[in-house]
Amino acid sequence: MIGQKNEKQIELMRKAGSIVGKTLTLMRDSVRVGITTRELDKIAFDYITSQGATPSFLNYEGFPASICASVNSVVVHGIPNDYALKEGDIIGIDIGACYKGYHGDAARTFMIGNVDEKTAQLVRETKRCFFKGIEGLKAGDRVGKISNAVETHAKKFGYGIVRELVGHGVGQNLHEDPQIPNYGSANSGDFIPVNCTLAIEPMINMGKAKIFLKNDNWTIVTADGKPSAHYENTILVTKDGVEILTLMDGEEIDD
Amino acid sequence: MTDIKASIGAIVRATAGRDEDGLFIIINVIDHEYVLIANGENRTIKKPKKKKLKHLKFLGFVDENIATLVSTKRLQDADIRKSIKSFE
Repeated sequence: MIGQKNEKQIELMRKAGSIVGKTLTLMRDSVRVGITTRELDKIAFDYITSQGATPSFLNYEGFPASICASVNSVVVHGIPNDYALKEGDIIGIDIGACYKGYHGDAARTFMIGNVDEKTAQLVRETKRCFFKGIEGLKAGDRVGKISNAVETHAKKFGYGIVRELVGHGVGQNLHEDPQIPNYGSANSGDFIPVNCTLAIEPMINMGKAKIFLKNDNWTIVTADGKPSAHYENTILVTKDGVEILTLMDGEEIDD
Repeated sequence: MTDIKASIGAIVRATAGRDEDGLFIIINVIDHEYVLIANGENRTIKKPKKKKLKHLKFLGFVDENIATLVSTKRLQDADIRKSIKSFE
């Protein structure tokens, strides 16, 4: 059952989303050679809490940090640590903020200095997968419309599409119905009701789709060790279209 | 933060109950909350265990062969045992 939001709830979702977007903006401005993922986590925690919100991920099913920091071959759920970013790295940063009981959830993959062209293309096209996924989307469409559009775009480049991890509804809980895979038939899945909020998140591997969970029980890596990129926004689906709630300041859409 | 999809063929570790710490394979997805798991030994295809997803740890590996066997109704307990063994 996909939950719908009333006007008041939508306002709270917008606020939570805007805190996430601002935190991602701070991350964009902070990532550089030499900074550790733990330092980035601290910056995010300080900002989110300064806005009267709480980091959604901290202690979520035992997750020990405010952000997921996933470098290079880490697909998602990387735990911030003392790793210092290096020239040529890519880092996926996933952030959630809970404001007055409502969660915003979004992720970006940032490039550190000069990244090789193949990897840079993966990052760009993963972002484009998201925008293909929401193109023309409105209430009454099926979840499969998103899934299929993401898959179709990623396949053009021969990328591996992670199958075990999916987007999701988001609201009073971080994970709500429906699950939104990044693959599948356009005529599959639930119908999307008006005024629901969804987190759509392509996770795209340069190599094969296969992934593994590391012994810390969180970090998910590509099985072939090749890079993986992640791009996610929380969106509001209305009868006419889509409103993106978690954009960064000055972010170009589908560049 | 990404949600984890319960897919048929996924290898999981039970984190609660009598089966705690054992490795299993999801052989059917009931809904968003519940799945059926088996290990080919005490939890067989004929008598799988209904388990809450919350009480399973997903290990990031899906055996596509198992998924195919389920969809063609040819899955046997020996296949499950073999798959879990190769994962260990």
